Amino acid sequence: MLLSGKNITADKARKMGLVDQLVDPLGPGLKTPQEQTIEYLEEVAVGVAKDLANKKIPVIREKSFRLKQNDWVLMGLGPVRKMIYNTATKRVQKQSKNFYPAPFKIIECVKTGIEQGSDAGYQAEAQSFGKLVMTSESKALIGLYNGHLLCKKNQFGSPEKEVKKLAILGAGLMGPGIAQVSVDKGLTTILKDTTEDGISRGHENVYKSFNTKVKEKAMTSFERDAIMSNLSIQTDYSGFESADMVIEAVFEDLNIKRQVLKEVEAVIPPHCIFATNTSALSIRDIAAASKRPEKVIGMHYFSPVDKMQLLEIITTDKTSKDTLASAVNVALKQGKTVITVKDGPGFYTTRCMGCLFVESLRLLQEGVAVTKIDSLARSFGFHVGPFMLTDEVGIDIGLHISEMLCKVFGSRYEGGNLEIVKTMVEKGLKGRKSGKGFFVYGKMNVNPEVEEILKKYRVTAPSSVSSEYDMQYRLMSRCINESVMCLQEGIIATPLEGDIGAVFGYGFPPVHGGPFRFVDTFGAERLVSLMKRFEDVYGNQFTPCQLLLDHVKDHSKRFYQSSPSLHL
Amino acid sequence: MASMLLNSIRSGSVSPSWAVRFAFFKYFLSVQTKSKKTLARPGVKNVVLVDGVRTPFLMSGTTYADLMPHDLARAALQGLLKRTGIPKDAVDYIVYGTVIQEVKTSNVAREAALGAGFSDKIPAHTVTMACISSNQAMTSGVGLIAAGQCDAVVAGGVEFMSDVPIRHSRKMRKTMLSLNKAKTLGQRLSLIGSIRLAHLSPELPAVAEFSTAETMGHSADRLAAAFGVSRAEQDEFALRSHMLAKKAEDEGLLQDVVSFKVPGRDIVSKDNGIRPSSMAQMSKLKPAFIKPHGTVTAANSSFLTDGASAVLLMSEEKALAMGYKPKAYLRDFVYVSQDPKDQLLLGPTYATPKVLERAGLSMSDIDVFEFHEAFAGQILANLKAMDSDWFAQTYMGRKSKVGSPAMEKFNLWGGSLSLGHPFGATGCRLATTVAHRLQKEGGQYGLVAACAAGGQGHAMLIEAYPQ
Repeated sequence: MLLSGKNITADKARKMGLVDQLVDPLGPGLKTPQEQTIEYLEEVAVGVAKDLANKKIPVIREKSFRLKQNDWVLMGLGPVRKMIYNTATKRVQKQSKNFYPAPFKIIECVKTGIEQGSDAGYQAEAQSFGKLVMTSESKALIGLYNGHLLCKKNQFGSPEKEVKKLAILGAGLMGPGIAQVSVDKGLTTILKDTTEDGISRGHENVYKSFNTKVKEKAMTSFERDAIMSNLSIQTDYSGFESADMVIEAVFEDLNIKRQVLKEVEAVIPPHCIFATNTSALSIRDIAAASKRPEKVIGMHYFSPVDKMQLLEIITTDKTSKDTLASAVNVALKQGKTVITVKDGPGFYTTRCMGCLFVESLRLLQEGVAVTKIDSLARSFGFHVGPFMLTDEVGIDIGLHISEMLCKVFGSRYEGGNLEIVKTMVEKGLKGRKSGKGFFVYGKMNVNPEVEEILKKYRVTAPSSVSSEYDMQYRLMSRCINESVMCLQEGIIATPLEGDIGAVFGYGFPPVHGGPFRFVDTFGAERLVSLMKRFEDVYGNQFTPCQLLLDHVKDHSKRFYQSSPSLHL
Repeated sequence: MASMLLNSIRSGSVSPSWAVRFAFFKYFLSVQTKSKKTLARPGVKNVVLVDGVRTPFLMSGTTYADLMPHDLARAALQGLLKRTGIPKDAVDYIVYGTVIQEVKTSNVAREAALGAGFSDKIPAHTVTMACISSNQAMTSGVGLIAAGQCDAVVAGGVEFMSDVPIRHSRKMRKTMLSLNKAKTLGQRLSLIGSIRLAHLSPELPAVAEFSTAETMGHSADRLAAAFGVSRAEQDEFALRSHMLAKKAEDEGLLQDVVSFKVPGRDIVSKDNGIRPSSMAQMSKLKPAFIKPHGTVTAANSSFLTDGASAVLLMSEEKALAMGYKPKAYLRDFVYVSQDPKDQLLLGPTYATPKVLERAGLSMSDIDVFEFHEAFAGQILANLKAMDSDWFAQTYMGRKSKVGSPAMEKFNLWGGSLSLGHPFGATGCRLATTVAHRLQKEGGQYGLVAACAAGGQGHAMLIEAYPQ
């Protein structure tokens, strides 16, 4: 509890003995339910306090046998206590990988309290807290928290017509996820696919997600059924004539998407917005097929939709303000954290993530093991390494995107040889969904077949930039540089959205607060000098972008002007 | 006894202001006096209540313990036959209400009618709508008569809580059903072998709202808290109910009760749940549902009850043609429903203004109120809700409150708290009591209202038949 900072529900707190008594929330009475409940709580609490004072209620603070045993151990021998501190420290090291200083300080404070008395303990706590608040980790996390709050607000005003009826096309991976986060917010939702099998599977996925909540007692079966009644599955376009928004999540193919757009436009009402869910296809190209491009917008959901908070909303220069306001409104309703980006190859997150992947691939070619590369990323603070991430996303999708981005950006974007990935896809190694990718699932081993494929593509690692540190920064500098370039090109509007997108979209280490805060903390100069060294070996892939160079030239330039303060 | 009472739960009704009474004269200021108009409407058939009876209501597990539901229903039907003297084939249709169904007699109306000696040519069906099941039975009958489909309908209700269906667990049921289909000895043995201890734990019918899993007593306690109804107010109201019931019984006013010779037992001719106590004694009880700070106790809740009721409804012409002197007209009625979680028991609050509006009456026009008392806290919460402009505007979409009924007209012969509450049978008791009270007290309009599980409610206007 101390170390993880977990929230504890009222029921659980009572079971744990942290609180003695709970009151139930009340419904409407002579005042609103909220007021009524608070007054009730006060009344009951005052009653209990009075009874405690008159000794009408006895205070029972019997410790359980287990707690007594713990006390005995804690009060017991020095070496035993020492062992406990060490075990706790080790566990924290394992879980937090040494990124966050706070848990260690907490253990220290507890130790001080037990060994030297509570006064010393509280003193230590106050001092450590003061120090911790000033750490870069603390600033990074507070910055993210503030940014997160900001991305939970609609900065584009209220839409003219609120979306009440949503239609989703495609019941594959994303469609049901989008339906899931919509129906429980009261949006009437149609899920359409071309086959009975598809919609049946889609429905089952949505149902399962809510049924799990029923099993966990987080929801009643009636709430589940009432929520599910908002979902209708079908293979035709009936009901689209009254839809306020259509989100298409069909196969990532420009022609198919255009085809779908034309079909949909024939049946929807004039005010209906057409949102396309894609991770990399140009929205402009899709919108070219539209009779009303001002109503077309991109909504890039991340998989799994119910778990990933981020949503990238992509506008073209033709997208109307109201369309944007409406899309953001729906996304916020769906519980998403929204960043708004301009249309461009790979938008923001995909473009940065792609960079990381092609560079990882080059390291692989140079003979670095898959696990080593993933652990380089993890020791920078990533939760999962680039290969495991690619396995999650799907290697075929990763290939598709990388190829496209390399084509658009040319040599600047290249890295490892994509033929390796192509061969993998041809052999059916498509990542987690096919059971095998860079890893073999079930066993969680590295896939030996990858080693086999690699033989053909092996290159020698240049020794000047192949220290662990250099390898790590080759990965990081490229994706950070790409982020900064996105800001420079106006793909993203603010560093804050860039940081939120990177952290919530592809898992950029929260401990650094995102690529932009990282540059501020690490120093643009230091980063650029590293990149220049890499540039000497590999060329333009490591050329720092102009905005980074500006920051080197002018030392007063910062992406964030001041340290963040916590607005609670 | 106490442990049995602890389980008491369910139902709904409504009522008026407790202390403060602001009469709500909106329209019909002139109708205040005795010169009240009749509620008859052109083109709508007059439906009359010829008479109504009930078995004594007994706490479950007492004298009726060895019967079955249709036995009780039959006793009420036979009582009605005897009381009215109607020929057994003069009835066109029979409708019964019940809540917890005995699976062997799921159409309990038919089983009871056959045993009561009604012609086997009379169709019978059973309805269920929680605590307003017999209200639903009556209004179904009213509908049949008003539509010209029938001239004479018997409506009633029955509840038998001394025996409720307790089932094997779902796992066990599944195994047993598979056993029926097993073809070989091996299959059968392997199925029998698959039975584990967990299979044997039975499933009891829950006294909880299915949609929210909250017991009705728990909801009533929250409702009382939401309207700031104190424990003392609740105990006082419960005490009032018991005292008024005792008085009515002693004065012989409960004429709807018919004696019932229970096979193997004595003749039962009185309710056995009427027990006036004292505030001191009642205040000793611990809360039954929300512990330790709740206010709903066994003593201020209605208790689990066995009982049945029946009424004879006819078109006015038919009744007069058969030489009856009807007791009352059944007039406008409404059903309402709302949020089953936080407004589970507020049916009367919603139903009362609606039914009054339909008839063009106001609260002060009503001479007799009979509201179902599920819990003292629930009744008092409804009274406060009806007396609140804020509640009417915020939750009911009305311009202003309907006002609360005058206590000197309210449940004067006891109520569900004291007489008992056989879920399916209470509605007919309320209607018959209104008819009897109108006759006795000389009033013209009576109002029945009740709440029911599922967040539903009902109200009906009854007009005295001219003497």
